[in-house]
Amino acid sequence: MRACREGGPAIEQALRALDQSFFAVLYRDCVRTLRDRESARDLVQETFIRVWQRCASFHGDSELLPWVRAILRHILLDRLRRPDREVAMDPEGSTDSEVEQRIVELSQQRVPTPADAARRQQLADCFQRCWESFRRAAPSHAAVMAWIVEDGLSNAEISQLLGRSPGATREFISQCRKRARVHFAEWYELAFGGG
Amino acid sequence: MSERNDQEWLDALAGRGGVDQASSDVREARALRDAILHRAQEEPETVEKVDGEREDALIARARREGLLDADAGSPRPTRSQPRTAWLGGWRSGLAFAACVTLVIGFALWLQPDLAPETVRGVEGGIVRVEARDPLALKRTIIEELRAVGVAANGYEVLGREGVDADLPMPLAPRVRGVLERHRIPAPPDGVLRIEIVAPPGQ
Repeated sequence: MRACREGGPAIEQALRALDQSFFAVLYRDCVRTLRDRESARDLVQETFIRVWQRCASFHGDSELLPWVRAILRHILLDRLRRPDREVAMDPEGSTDSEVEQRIVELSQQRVPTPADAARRQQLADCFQRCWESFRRAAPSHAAVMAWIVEDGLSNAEISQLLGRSPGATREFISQCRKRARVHFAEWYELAFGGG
Repeated sequence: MSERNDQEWLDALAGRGGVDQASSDVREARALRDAILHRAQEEPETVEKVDGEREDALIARARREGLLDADAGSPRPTRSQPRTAWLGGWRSGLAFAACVTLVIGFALWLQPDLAPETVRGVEGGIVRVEARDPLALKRTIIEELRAVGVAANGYEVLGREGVDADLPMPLAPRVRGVLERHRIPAPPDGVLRIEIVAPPGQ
């Protein structure tokens, strides 16, 4: 970071150090989100370039990895929102009312305690299918939800990640929930209603 | 789904405490959280911590993007070069000045022809606006809102320029004035979302 701020020949060395320190961890994050190794390499490289461009905004008292990772996530969201990846959005409030009603009924029932390995496997397989469907239909929503789970992001952190106002962020969260209910309907049924 | 339900769901999804354990929203989010944490994930191949080829590609890209001096490593200028370099600087300065004059002239020529933006309606809480220069209009609205004390954010998604702002309610006259100036209807809940596109065929 010091080299970035000072400029000069140390920059090349600093970029090499960034690559050595963070490539592996960022590449793994990227592959898990994008499922595309070539794009992942490209985006990690782009992240290092942005780190250099934004180094003036880095506060020396904070940790470097979370800051670099936040830059990567911005880039990932941009990529996921591109038209070639984007699937048509459901119109506002278009959640299937039957699904909605069923989920409400099911969620009032008990949390399942799978009795055997076969049932656990069935649940895991079903979740994976639903997750894939959700990820394909709403890639940015799926990515943000995974990051919320993995890092316990606060409202402010989500807002910063999305670059949106608190109100728009609340709406994004609401959309995540609505869309998840549609795509995970089969899993909810199995998990809460399977008995 | 109310805002409070969404917040409880989010807190449970993020693994935060202090949520109502009996709530169906919380149970739903807890189950989802557990499944997301334990989902099968693609594991990429192991990558080398130090990979000279990879680093070289990064350095080459940094050069292409102008972050590093493209001439770094090339021989230093000879004694005859300073005069040429000075001439180069003088010529590029003139060229730059000429370009700036052209751009300003062109902008002034365009100015009287600029049509005001047109509000096309409100869909799902988003005010749809058409303008010849969406980016310029976005910047103007953000500046005007900020000037009256509203924290407005700009964004760009799928070729649409957007503005988000949480307006303090009830609306202050100065804030209302900005909205009226652009013929933007005041949002009933204070959550302002505007998306601006160029007119079709532009």
